[in-house]
Amino acid sequence: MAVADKPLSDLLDEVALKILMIEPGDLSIVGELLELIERLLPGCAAAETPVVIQQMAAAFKGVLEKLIMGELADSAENYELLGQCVIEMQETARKEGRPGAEIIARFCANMKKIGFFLAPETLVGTAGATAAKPVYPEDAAMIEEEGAAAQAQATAARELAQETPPDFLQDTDLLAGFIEEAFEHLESIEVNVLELEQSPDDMDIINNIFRPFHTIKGVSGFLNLKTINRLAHATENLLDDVRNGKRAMDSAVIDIVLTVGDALKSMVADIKDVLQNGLANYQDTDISGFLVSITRLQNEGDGAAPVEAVSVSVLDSPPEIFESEEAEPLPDETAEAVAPDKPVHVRAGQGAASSSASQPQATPAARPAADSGAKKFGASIKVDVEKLDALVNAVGELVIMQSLVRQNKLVSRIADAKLTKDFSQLTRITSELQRTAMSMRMVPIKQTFDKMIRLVRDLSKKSGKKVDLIMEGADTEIDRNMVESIYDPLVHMMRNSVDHGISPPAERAKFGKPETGTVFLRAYQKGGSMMIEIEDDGEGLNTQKIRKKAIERGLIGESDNLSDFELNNLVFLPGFSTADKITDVSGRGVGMDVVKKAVEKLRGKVEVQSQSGKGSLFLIRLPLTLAIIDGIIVRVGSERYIIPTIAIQESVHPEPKNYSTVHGRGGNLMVRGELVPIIRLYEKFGVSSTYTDPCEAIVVVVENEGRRRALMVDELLGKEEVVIKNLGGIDVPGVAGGTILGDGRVGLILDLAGVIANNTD
Amino acid sequence: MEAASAAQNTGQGTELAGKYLTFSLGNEGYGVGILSVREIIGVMEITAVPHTPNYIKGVINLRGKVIPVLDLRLKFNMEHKDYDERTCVIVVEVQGQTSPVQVGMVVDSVSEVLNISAGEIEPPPSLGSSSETENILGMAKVKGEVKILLDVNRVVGEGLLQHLLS
Repeated sequence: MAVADKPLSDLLDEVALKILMIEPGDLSIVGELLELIERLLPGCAAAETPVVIQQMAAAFKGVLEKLIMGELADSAENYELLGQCVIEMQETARKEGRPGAEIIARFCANMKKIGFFLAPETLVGTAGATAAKPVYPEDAAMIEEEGAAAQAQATAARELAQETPPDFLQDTDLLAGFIEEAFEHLESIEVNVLELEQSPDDMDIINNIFRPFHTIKGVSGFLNLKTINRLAHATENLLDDVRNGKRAMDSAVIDIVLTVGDALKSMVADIKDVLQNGLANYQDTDISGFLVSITRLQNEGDGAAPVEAVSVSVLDSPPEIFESEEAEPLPDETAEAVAPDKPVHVRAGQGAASSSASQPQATPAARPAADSGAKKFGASIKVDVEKLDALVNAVGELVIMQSLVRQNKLVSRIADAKLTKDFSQLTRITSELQRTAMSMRMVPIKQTFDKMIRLVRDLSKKSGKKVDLIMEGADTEIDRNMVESIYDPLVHMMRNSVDHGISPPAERAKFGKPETGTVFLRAYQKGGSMMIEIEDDGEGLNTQKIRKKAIERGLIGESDNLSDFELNNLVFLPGFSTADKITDVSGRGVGMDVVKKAVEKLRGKVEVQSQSGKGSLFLIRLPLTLAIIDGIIVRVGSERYIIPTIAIQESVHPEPKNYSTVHGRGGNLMVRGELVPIIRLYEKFGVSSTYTDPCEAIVVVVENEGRRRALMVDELLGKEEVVIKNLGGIDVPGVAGGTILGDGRVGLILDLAGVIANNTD
Repeated sequence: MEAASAAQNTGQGTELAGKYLTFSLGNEGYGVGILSVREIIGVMEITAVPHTPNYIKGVINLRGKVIPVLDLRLKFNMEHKDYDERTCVIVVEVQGQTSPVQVGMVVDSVSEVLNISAGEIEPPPSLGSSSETENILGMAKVKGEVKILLDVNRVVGEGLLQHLLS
């Protein structure tokens, strides 16, 4: 029938329109209505019309007929109720014929109000409905496709891909929630799959992978995200087969689960894009390829290739030991290989020194209990990041205001013991509040580290090298604003280690090294900073080659005498790469200087220590939080500046015998036997200062990127932790930002790299 | 020609009609669209920032937020005037590179908010230098006085942007 071509939604729209136009007594329109409804009746309806719609239509027709016959009141209210029913039918159509109990109940209630009794059970779609008519169980559509031959499945999926974009934008809140959770699930799937590679038979892990797929399938189905739903469902079935022993877990399955995970990630990202930028960005993904592979795997059954142990073992504190080896605490994280006697091995890594969060312990041997020691499973809630930032800002302002009040001249003159006590208490509480607020911004670096697991696995597979990744201190917390920015530099350095550092197994054997290279990824806090180390036991940097390259590039002279350490750190200069050929991973000479810039943007430092033949250690030092900086407040004239404590080596009151000038200008200070150039801050910043002679003033010796300078200031005012604020659009070399000082005025925070750079002219 | 420019006139005029906050710099009266104005504060202590053009006076603490402040007189190459009790800072919000930014403008004194209709607005005069004419949206004749209507985004945004590029 030609009319079957008309999409269901259009039809229902027409019905809705018609109902709006009805006036009591105008039966002609009712007749037209009847005609439209006819098309939805069982027997006349198009094949894809959901059964429940057909049944609703039948009820509808019943009402209309009774209206015409006069058995039911021909009233405005009834027509309105009918209108409601149409809305319910439209809803049902949107939900693809699975309206759920609520809609059914409403429909029947409305019908009842009109006077047409309709039992909800007869309407298919309610949970547990067993109608005589062919039922559409939840997964009917899915099962149909999977049951079919691979070909048909592929075509079906392809057709699906060409459908008009689904209207899942109805409930954006739910959708947003789903997107966040889906990403989390997919991350956990990836981590678990990689663990699974080490122990393919561990049923717990398999369940841990199965469950998130099941959840994704469920919620995406409810939200009408068809493609995601189908893919998740297919994968869930595959995993179920593995669970039930119908299929062995092997590398083929692992690979496909990983690739499906990637595909789902990009699909969810697509949906997120649509949510943010509009339906125009919608792109459906062709999952036919996946479905074909999955079906093939399911039909293969056993006898596929065993798991290839691509030895990427990952541990962090506390260790989850699957095959217990000699799991004693490693002394000081030295890379002494605990000799493995199995190809797939796992080593216990102990968190280093002062790991902030959970305490690492020397848990030797055996399978740990379900809650392995320090893993804190406290309750947590999700909070909007904006709210959190607003809170942190408000607390910051509170601290300032509190300090302002305290320093108010009139207030400070009140010599009341109780007042003083109360103020101390107030200060204590405010500091506590600030500390707590700041700590809310911290997240464990684990999420970033986990991404490295996959990276190393893929890299080593690609390059044919064997690499062990040992992670320590993943619980160390890092400011959430830094998490994104630290990811790229870490990736670069990992790639370098695997690509340049670690040699192919044959080479390593030649040098008497174990065939499997090791890469350590460590995080810990030290001295008020956050440290991240990437250490490998590979070739190390070729200092001679670096020296040659540097001379070629004109960066140093032939006769320049640089230490090995200095030579090695030249690799951070732009365009520097001693790789012989460019792989698509690195070797293009852009890696290390990008890393350096990124780290410095976070107010951190990066350096490398290396020994040719033994390996390299990249050390990144970052501030604990980007928001607060610890600095010394200095006065120059009537202006106040803050010098970051991390850069300060010492401050002195210069003695004339140590002070020397060159041609009556500039000025150097002898500090501990070394000549350090003096920078006069009043000159630099164009302010008038109290002193112009360094020997009357104070000099602060700072170090930045290996350069030392002596900054001349009038007075040291104190040491404080100040909240950094940017200058609202102004970007000046030498100034990192501003802060609000105790008296409400703005103090400028110095950016030493800029201060020193500007001076070398 | 006449008719065309007249038509263009009224066309532009209707766009520009609306409420303006008027203020003065010396003998001249100016106006900025009220929608960009966030607040008006008395002039307060400004912390100078080195290596910035002379019209960027520095930064101030606006309830915990650090915002830059420009001196409009200096921006327009007028004579500097000492700040007195009538001097105000008009805080406007303009579109920065990635997000809106708030910037303060020091003016001699602030007058009132005027509702300016399309008929009262004329196109800006051609002063020769293109950058200067770009700052001006139009000239308004209100109550016998002339107010120069400024394009705040150009005046403030351009000031900062130029600096960033230099």
